[in-house]
Amino acid sequence: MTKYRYLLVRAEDPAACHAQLLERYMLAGFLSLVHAPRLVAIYDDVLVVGVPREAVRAVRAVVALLDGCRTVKVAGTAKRAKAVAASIRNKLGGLGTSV
Amino acid sequence: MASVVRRGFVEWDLAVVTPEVEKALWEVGVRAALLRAEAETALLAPFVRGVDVNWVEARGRDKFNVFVYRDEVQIIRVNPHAPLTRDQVRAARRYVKYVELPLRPLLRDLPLLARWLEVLEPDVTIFSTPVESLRDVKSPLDVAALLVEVSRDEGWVLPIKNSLGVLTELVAGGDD
Repeated sequence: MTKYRYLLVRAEDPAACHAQLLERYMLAGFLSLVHAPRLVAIYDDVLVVGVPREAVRAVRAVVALLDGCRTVKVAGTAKRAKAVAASIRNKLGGLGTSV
Repeated sequence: MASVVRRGFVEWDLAVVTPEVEKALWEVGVRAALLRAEAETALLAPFVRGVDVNWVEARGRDKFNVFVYRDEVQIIRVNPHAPLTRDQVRAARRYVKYVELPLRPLLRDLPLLARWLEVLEPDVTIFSTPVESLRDVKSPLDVAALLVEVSRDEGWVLPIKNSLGVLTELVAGGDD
């Protein structure tokens, strides 16, 4: 089974960031046709998306190209990724509040 | 060459210091920054261009050839739209100068970035973003992934991974 890694991407507009990421996901190569990215969740300003481990570098390269998006953490499981994302999110509306 | 320092990265051109920008940089692993002017920082170790590190801006190739022979110059910031030649990069290495390449304009022009990566050498190159607002903050590891993907050369993680080492070397070298 293909192992996935979960990227936590902080963005002003995580939904737009996800859409742009999907548009360019093919850059990950043939792998991208076989294993789709997994959208896990969006926590306020944090997007959690799972990609095959072999595609992590290519996807991070794509993130570097997107305006206002940056990878802040990489987690090994979806569960762990969600827990981390929930703890580092910035609640929309309130500045700098984290749970 | 300096040994590799792994604990953190450097933003080579932090134009605007605000608590939000600092927090965002810290979050992506940046621990030190080169500022354009003196400013208070809360999280990042601040260094100032022209004070802690000597730098010049070479807008054209011929200017580069002048600066490369100047003793006091440590960093030559180049015009991203005018790639240097391999010989110029070799000269920079011979005279112990770092070539600063501003990345932001190149993110929209990857063929040009690829041309740069063909002539530059990882151990004498530094990548500045520059950061003028929160939107400009990039994860250094994302950037490193991009450099490697574009060049197909693993060596390009070095300027990112060793940026603290390079900064330390530059700051120490500026004293004498």
